[in-house]
Amino acid sequence: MYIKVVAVLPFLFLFTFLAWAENEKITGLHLENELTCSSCHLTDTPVKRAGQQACIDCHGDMQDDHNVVVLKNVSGYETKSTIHTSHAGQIRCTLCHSMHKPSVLYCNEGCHHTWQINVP
Amino acid sequence: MIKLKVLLFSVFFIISVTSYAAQTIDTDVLIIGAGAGGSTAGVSALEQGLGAVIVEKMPAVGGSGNYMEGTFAVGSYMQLQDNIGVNAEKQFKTVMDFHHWRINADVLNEWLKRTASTIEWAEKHGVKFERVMTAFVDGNRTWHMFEGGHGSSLIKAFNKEFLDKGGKLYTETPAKKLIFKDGKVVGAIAENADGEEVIINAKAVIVATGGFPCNKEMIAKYLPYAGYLYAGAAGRDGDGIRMMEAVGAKLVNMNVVMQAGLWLKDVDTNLQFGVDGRSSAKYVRLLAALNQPYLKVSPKGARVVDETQSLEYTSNAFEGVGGEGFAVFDENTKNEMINAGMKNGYFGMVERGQKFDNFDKLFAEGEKMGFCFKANTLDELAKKTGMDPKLLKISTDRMNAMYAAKYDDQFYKDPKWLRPIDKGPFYAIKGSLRMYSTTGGAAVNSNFQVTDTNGAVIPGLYAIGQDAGGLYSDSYDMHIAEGTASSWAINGGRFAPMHIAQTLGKK
Repeated sequence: MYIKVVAVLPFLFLFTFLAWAENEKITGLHLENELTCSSCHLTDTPVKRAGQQACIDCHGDMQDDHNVVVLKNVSGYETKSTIHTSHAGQIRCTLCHSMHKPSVLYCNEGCHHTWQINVP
Repeated sequence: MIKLKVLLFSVFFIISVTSYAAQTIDTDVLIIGAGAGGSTAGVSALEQGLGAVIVEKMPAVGGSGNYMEGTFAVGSYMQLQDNIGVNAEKQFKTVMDFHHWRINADVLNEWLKRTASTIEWAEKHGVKFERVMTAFVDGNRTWHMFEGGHGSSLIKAFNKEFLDKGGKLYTETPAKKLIFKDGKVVGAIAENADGEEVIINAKAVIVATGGFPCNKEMIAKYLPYAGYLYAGAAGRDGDGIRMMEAVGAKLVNMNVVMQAGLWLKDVDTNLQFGVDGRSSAKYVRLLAALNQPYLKVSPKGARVVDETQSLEYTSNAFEGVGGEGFAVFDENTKNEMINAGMKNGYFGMVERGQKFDNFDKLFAEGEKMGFCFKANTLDELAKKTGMDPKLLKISTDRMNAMYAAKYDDQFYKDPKWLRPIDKGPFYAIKGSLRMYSTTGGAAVNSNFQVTDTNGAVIPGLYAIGQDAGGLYSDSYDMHIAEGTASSWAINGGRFAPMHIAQTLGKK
């Protein structure tokens, strides 16, 4: 009886992993470029976020022209920002950019609230 | 039997492979929090030749260090250049008098004496100050303003230097518990973004998590008004105080906050607090109207305070009546705000004398949102706002009498700020108290070492910024000392690692 209960455990773990992995679909350009789970997660049954290096390997460290963006807020005020070298320090790519759900601007979630910009 | 062993082995194997493996880091100084205090501590620790690790709960650094506009110092070269004569001795006497000698006098004095050199030290490490100013007419010019108007410039400069010089920063890694062995703090246990345990062994720990303004339970437990709302960075949940209390730290001044006066009730920070016309603060002019020096009453309609008083005194008075209240004015005063302008503006966010030309439109929105009220009679206004009509009548009748007599015999306000309330329609704006931070925390000595309930130092443990208490008795003291909260954090961050280096025999 005890053996049966214990024997179920490994399968429970396995099913949990599979369920988690299947809930996350690849979207947008990553899908169009035929990336798979292991392109970023280094496994086809990922259990956690992909590491930062996965993003950097293709996209670079964003210290170049991609770094300068124009931020507008609701009252029409505009400012230029080096968004990837801001006072927020080095934040992980996936804080804003997501492959599996809509991207957000963390600056707005944290403090600024009303910058209007399209986040890829 | 063998089958069972194989089965159990494979189960345990799978469990051990998937279970959370602990990571261990060894360092000299562990800094918990990368706000103004923690970021400064990181730079200072490296400067002292110590190895340093910063763990930060949030994904970004800075905390409310991004919000501070300036910082306090006395006797700085910038002040001397402008013939500002305030120094440690003068300021000490003013502050101790204000706080009735109920604060930590030694700690205050040692901090005051160090603030001047910290301005130059910060400049040496890449921080620029634009000027030294005061927020008040003929105020105490101690406020050294960060370039661009925000401490984000300090956060950026210090974070960069910390990383460039080999400091280790782990974001999304909240510290959970201090490691306490043989009566000494020797590190902390944290949790990384993947939920894995991280053990950090250190010779000293500096706790810099920013107090508890985000923690509703602690607010209800410690503050005079359980509904105190907060404006500032997220993540200040009292983690540091909780961890220090668990190892015996004494907590002091837990009832005092960085008082910000009355704000529009139930209106998001970013909708009311920001530069007029240049930010998302759509309702900042109504916030300014709420804070003009005209009649203010308690939730029931009784006048509460001399309406020209500082934010902290206004806050104290309103803490005494439940933390909320109303500005009440009539059609004539409204027209004065529209045509002649709001005399006081609001702390640079609304200019002094700003004509409130969009009053009607904005007020109507406020009515829809539930913080503005308009009525043809005062009785009706009382009904709409929940005030006692009898009390409101007493307040307004008396105000009208005092206006006629050109003399406030209730609270002795300068008569030029008396206004009658007799021409309908009548207006009320509802406000509730806000804070920029809590200020109570662990008791510390002048080295920022944490002390226990017997006054003895807890070896290995330091607290800085709003995790360290001892500076305020029952009110914030902005109107005699501008920028103290940030200065307390920055100076703590600079000097705690110096003391650590000293005790380790490094310098």
